[in-house]
Formats: sequence, structure tokens, C-alpha cells
Amino acid sequence: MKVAISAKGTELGSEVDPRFGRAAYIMIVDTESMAFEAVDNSANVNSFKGAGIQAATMVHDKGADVLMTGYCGPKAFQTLEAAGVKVVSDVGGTVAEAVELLKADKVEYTDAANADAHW
Amino acid sequence: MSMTDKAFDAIVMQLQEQVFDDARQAYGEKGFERWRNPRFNGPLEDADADASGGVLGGCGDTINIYLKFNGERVAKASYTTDGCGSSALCGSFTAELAHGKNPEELLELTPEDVLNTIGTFPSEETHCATLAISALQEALNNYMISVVDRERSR
Repeated sequence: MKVAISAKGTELGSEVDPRFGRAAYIMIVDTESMAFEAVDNSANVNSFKGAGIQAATMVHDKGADVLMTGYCGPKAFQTLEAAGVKVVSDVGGTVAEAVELLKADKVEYTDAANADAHW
Repeated sequence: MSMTDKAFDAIVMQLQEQVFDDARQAYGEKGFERWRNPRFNGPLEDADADASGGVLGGCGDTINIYLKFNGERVAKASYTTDGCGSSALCGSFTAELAHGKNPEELLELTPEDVLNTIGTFPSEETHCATLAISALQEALNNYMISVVDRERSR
């Protein structure tokens, strides 16, 4: 399974970025092999057209099944829901720790956005 | 996932339109146009000073302001931010207001000046204007320090 995790850096040891749309990087991690790709999200940070939607579309395009992040706004959540990507919010710690939680099935999938709309 | 790519794209398009409608409502026509086409965005290569890499606001956003002087007055100004659209708007209009001003006039600029220039702005986001002006004052402070240092070393 592939999981997308908003991150402040490009390593498995990097901290989870609580922001989704404006995260520095989105890590795409294969939970079986732990192979990962760090997608630079900086273009999105200055996209000025709905960073959450753009980031959510990218997560879908990368084939992730789950998104783990801190805060997920309503537009991003709707986009992910439409794409069939499950969302875990209020995630902290490192990217590797987040993956471990997911693998151990110690996560709760959210059924709503946990942040206000923010452009 | 059972949804087709076409249906997904349609939903994304629809959400995108909603974001534009919301932003137009929040920032007014003038602010919305600037949000879509942010002027003065990006670092100035030949800046005389910036806000020491940026000022971090309580909301977690950082705004930086770059100043390039020609004689006593600002010839060029720009902003960068890792923050939301509101921070970007305030950075952009702060950079615009800085143009043509001398240090004394820059010191007089307030967050209210920025908000008045934008016109329409969400009341819960006005701290972004305060942050942008703090970055401007920090950049100005750094510029003044560099001027004093230069004069001393003469």
C-alpha cells in the first residue's frame, strides 16, 4: 500500500508537516518495501488557487491509498474523498513513525476536515 | 476506487471554482486579482536588505521583505512567504506601498495602510498585515544598520 505523508524534509526521519496544502514536501511511501519518493510541494505553496486541492490531486495521481497529515481543510478533504483516498489527521512525529502507526493499524480514519477553509 | 478519472476531474474543477468564488468574496475584486497574479513575489537578487530571512508570525507563516534603494528612496521591493493567500496578499501590497518611500516614510507605514489598500479583507486574517509590516520594519532596520556600518568604515 502507498501512503502520502506531509513532511518538512525529504527523509523518512523528517518531521511530519502539520500543514497539508502548504507542506514543504509530500512523501509517498510504499509500506511494504519502505521505498519512498519526496515530492517537492513548493510550487504549490505559491500556487494561489487552492493549495489543498492541488496537493490532494497530486496525492491521487501518485496512487496513494491513505494521506497522513496534521490539518486537512474542507476542499482538500472533498478532493481526497472523491479520489477514494482515506485521511488520517492530527498526525505528528516523523514520517517513519507515521508509517509504523499505519502498519500497526493504530490509526483512525477521519470522516471530516479538521481545519477551516484557508487560501 | 470506482470513480472514473473524468468524474474526479469534474469534481476537482468544481471545487476549484468554489475556491475562486470564496476568495473573491473574502478579498474583493482587487484582492482577488492580486491573489491570482501576485506582484512583487520572489527574492530580489540585488537587495540592499531583507528581514533577516523573514519574520515568523504567531500563525506559523513567515514573511520576508526585500528592499533595494536608489539614493534615499526604495527603487524596488518584493516579498516571499511560505504562508497562505492572506499572507501573500499582505506581502504583495506592503512591497507595493514601500516603492518610492524614504526610511522615514517607511517607518510610518502601518498594517491599517496595507488593509486599506487591499480594501476587502477577512477580519480574522488581519494579523497577516501586521506580520508583513513587521517584516518591512525588520528589513528597514537591517538597511539602516548597513548604512551606519558603511559610514563608520569610511
